[in-house]
Amino acid sequence: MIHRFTLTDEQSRAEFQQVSKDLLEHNATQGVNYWAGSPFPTMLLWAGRVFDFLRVMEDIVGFYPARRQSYLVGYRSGNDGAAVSESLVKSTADTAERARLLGRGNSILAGAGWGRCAIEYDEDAKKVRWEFPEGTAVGLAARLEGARGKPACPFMAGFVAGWTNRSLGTKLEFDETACVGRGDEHCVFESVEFLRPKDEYVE
Amino acid sequence: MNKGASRENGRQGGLRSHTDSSPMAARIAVAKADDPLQMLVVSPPKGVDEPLRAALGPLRNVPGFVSAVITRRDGLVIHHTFGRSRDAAGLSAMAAAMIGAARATGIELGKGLPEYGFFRFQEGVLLIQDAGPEALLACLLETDANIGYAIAKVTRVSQLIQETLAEF
Repeated sequence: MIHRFTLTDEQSRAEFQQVSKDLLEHNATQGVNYWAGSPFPTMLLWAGRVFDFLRVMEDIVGFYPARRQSYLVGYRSGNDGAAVSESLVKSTADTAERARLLGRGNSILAGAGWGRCAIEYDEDAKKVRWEFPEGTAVGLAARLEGARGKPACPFMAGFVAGWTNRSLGTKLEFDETACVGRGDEHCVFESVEFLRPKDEYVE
Repeated sequence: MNKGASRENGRQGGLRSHTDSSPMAARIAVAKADDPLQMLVVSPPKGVDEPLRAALGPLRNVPGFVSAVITRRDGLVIHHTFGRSRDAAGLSAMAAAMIGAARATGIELGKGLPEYGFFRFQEGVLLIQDAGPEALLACLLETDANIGYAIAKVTRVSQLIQETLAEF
């Protein structure tokens, strides 16, 4: 069975209203924002600065070690996000409920301005694919910095991995198979059981 | 009270203690309790463990050999001989960064790529070498180990690892 989760323009706007406006609180004394009652400060940050985390690190330690550190940060973010959503559903023992939890990922990402995506989950093949037809915010920011030969969004790859694994109870990795920051038309993240480093990405 | 003031008063979440009982805060606390990075475990290709264990065999005969880890180029453990996986994971991530930095240094200096990395610590020696495009090998030795002999063995074992991974 193949599950597919998409958003319309209208749904994307509605998610933005809820995620980025209704649930965001401003503490005027601190000049700090908080989201949905969480004690963790929340702030606006240019997407290009997330790309910079990768770029600065890869200049020093090379692409793959930098990719993994960025991926791990994204992983925690995705995992925690799915954990919060998970706590709102009745039973995660139900496969369909887990798939719906996976599908919530596109609402959160569009609502937070990270990019609008379609998520496809092939239950039988145990494969998951997240496609951002217009690119992720980080990928679009990377594109503005000029073409690069390697993917720009390991943070997002980590996010979708964390969200997917928490939702489905899997142990998948995600590879950026297309990236607008690399000149591709879309950003695509595809699950793999074990990522195999590509020779052309090793400096 | 006007609508704006009411809204302002509603945005006091940040002034509350972290022990606040708001449902969302509690949910996030639960999510933090089980560290997702500790749960981030992926398995190498099926069947590769045994050939990699065999490939590391010659290192066990090197006088002063302590432990070794085969690391994916991004720092994920593929196979190791450490007693605790946590030790292997730590060295694996650091070795990947060290060899990555060494490669960047070689390029920056126009001196080509490093053939191996060698660090002599107060209480041990660490040898790191590329093992093909996908992996690298990090080997811990006692301080008094014969480094020349160890480098020769590590070089041979790195080739075996590269050949083994290419088959999977």
